Amino acid sequence: MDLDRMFSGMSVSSSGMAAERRRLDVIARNIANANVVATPGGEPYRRQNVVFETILGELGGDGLPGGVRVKDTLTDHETPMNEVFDPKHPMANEEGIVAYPNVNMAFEMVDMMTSARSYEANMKAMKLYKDMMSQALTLLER
Amino acid sequence: MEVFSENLDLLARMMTVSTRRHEVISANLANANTPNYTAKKLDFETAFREAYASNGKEAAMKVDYELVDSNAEAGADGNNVDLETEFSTMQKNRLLFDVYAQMLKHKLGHLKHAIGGLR
Repeated sequence: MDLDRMFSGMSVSSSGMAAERRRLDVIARNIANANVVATPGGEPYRRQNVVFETILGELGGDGLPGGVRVKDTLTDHETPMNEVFDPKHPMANEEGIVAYPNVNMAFEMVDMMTSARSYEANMKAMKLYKDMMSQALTLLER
Repeated sequence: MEVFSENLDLLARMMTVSTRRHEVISANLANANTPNYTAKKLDFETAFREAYASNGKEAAMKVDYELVDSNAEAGADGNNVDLETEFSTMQKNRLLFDVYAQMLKHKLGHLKHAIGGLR
């Protein structure tokens, strides 16, 4: 086993951790903007979502699955906006309805928990890999 | 007498396979939220055992590991990574790795002892 292969297991786990952190960033952005009715473009904020994709072979070599990365950050145009009747609001339309972002707190919380747990799982895998490699290194002791 | 033939190569091979298996499990965990990802399993022992039984150790040492797609039920997003399975395989794999490392260490210790005895 050559020496840079020794750390490929760690790159797989760290790619997972990086991707989960990116997802947490987007969730945090959704929660922070949950009540933003006017973004710089004038539109209310729309929920964003990350899509993951598998990296094949680049980190692990030999065609082993090599980890994960964020393929794209998508804006959710499907979910309808949260319409609230508030005629006195400056952003209200002729019917007195204000369009609030399509961010659903329950969904964001669940996504946040999944993401945090996955981050933890990747961290455990990395720790175990490190333990295995230190075990292998004890073979060099006299 | 062949000093280093005493299954040292086999133990080293098993350690490499264990490391590769850990990488595959890490990749499954990293892809636990990737849509349409199919979990992979690394199989070495089955092929090794067959080759060993029919053609002996020489042939068995040439056996390579292979990646098998897991046939577990996929969730709504088409992803079939099962965290519990991955964790138990990871722990088992880790223990096996320790076993191989300890055995190798002992064998090397015996050799060192024998070499020291000549002085």
